[in-house]
Amino acid sequence: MAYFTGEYFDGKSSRSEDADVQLTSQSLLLRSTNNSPIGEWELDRLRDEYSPPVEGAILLSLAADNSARLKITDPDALFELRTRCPKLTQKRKAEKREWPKLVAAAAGTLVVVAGLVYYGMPVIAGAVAEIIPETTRQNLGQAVEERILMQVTKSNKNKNAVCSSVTADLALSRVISQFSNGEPASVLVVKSKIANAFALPGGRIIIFSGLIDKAADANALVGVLAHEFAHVEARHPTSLLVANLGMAAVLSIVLGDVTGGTLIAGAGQMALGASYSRDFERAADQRAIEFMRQNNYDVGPLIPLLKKIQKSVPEKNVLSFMVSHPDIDSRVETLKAAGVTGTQQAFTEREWQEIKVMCTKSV
Amino acid sequence: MQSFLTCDITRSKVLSRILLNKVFGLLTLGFYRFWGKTHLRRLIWQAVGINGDRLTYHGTAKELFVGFLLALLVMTVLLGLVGGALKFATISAPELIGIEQLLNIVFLAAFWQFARYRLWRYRLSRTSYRTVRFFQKGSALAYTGKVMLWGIISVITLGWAYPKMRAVQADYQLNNMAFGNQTFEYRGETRAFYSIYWPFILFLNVMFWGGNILNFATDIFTDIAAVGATVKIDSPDAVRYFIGFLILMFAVAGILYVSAKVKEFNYKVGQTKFLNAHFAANIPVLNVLKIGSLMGIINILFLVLIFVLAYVGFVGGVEAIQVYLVIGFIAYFLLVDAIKYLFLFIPMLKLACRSIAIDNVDVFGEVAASTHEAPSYGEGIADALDVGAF
Ligand SMILES: [Zn+2]
Repeated sequence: MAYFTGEYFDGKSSRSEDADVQLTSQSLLLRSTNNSPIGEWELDRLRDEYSPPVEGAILLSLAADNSARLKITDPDALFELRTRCPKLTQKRKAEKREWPKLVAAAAGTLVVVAGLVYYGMPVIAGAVAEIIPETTRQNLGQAVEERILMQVTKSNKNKNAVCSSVTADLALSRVISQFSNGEPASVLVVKSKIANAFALPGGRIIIFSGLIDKAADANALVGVLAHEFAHVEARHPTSLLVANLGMAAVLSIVLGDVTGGTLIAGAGQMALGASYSRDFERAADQRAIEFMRQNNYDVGPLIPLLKKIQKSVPEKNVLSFMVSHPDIDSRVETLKAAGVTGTQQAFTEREWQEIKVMCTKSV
Repeated sequence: MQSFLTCDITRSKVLSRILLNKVFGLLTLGFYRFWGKTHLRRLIWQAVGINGDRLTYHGTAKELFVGFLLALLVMTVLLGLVGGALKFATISAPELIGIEQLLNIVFLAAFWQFARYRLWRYRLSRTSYRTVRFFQKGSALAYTGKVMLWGIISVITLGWAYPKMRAVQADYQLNNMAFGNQTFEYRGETRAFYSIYWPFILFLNVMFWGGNILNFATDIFTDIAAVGATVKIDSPDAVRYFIGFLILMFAVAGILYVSAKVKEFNYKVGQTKFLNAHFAANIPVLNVLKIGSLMGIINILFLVLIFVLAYVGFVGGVEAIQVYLVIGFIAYFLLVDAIKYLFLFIPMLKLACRSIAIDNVDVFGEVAASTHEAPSYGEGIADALDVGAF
């Protein structure tokens, strides 16, 4: 048995009253100073509302829905209470039981948000890509192109990377203009052993000379050009860029903390981005087949080229021709299903020879 | 008048809490932050006392979490709707593109203000003193409307309506603040906000108009740009002077802004009444500037350290760069918040506690609890947008 005093708050007012407290084996008996009883507080229901605990005081509460408090500052009483109230610093049970609900709510929300991001973001990104002004897209494309050229120049031991030959350049832009119907587009051939091609924002197409080396037939290159121009026409490069930015924004909201979230956001973004670009590749292949058919060129020679590239290791990059490595077989199927789409050669024999050697000559 | 606020915050506890939050946050892909935030707030709230009694923070991580989930849904749907509206509008009228982008910015700013009000409402309603709670009444929507109106006028008038906007904000916010069944009263005047803010606004206007006139009259900026681009090696002085001038101007603008904010705070506190008690605050501008510059210097040192690491890595080759950058990034990630709390937030809190006074300290000890309903979930959009740092 111990007696001490405390400061009692009834929870209805900030006014307090002094209370006489009697500590029994099971509970605290609270009385006001005029000896009228306030209540009996069982020791194993008591919690300290100071969390983390404070040195010189305890603020006792009896239940979660009871806002009455008893403030104790008497050092002996503090010691007694801290040793005899078993659950003083624990959480109340009600708070613990909410876990499953919370997890379910979180999972549900994340599923909905992920769905909206997965299905909604391509639509939004496509719309935004449409409204981004031509000049902005040109600038974006130029910036990316400069970066690629810098890399290639570096790996070429600082020799000029851009291949150029009057006949070849004319032939390439002639073929592109057959597809483009006046939409601005340009083709740049760069010297590199890698077999690849890119479409960049602003209608820029880059062909790595390794691809030309691997092409056994001129129309294989024409097929690649048709495919890349299909990306340009549908604004895929800009969409992809916008989708990446949008997903970064949504993911950084989900993950909150801007610094820590960025890392994880980057990974998630890459995964989603790869899946979008697979859709883009499929669409570009379909459109390329149409382009080839309209101009009476056969898309067939593209098939052996694709197969040949599959064996070499592709470079991961923005809308790479080879980005969808895993389902290259289904791409081949699509092309096979198109059958023979034409009978004409897009380039003359002389033009094709010129294109084949344009990179060996110009360096 | 006597000071009545105490602040006995333990820096080591705050530091270990922040580091713990960071580590758990990383391990749980950021989802620990609701719990971490709640722990940190309890620590801070409890450190502040009025007349010897500590404040209590009642918010729970669950509330924050549910609020966040709701906000996530709302924001994703809105994001989709805005995207759809954009598409529709620009397909039907491509010339609207500029206006669309402007509307987007206005929309986001409004979102921000709304979130701020809800944030205050949540925090105040989860704060109690001697078992009685604080409240923020009023409507976040009405507040947002008022602020947006004067905010847009401020932009149009190059800042000259900004003091009016601040006056409107203070009026709505403080007159809707309550402790228990008693509402705070605030009687500030717009005139006072003008006398606080005019040096800052005038400085910005002089910079803006001066720069424009100079540019039109002499094309000096084109020349300076040309100097920067081509003659860098021949006459580095011109570039150096120009950058020095810019830094100086930023510093002056920063000092003017901070001193205006401090004066505004002192004024608002001085115009506030609770029952029969009056408040006063005299936070010295110089002290705030000292805290601010110390914080700035520490941050700069930190960045220098990261650059040194990157440079050491650079000498050691590509792989070493990556290793050192990762180390630098993790250090930055772990320490940036800690630095902010230890060198900015806590000193400011202590300064504020010292500098605020009241003429009747017992006024908070006589108030009845309010029947006002507290919001049932956490900060939602404010949390999602990361409005308000802690
Ligand atoms: Zn492609």
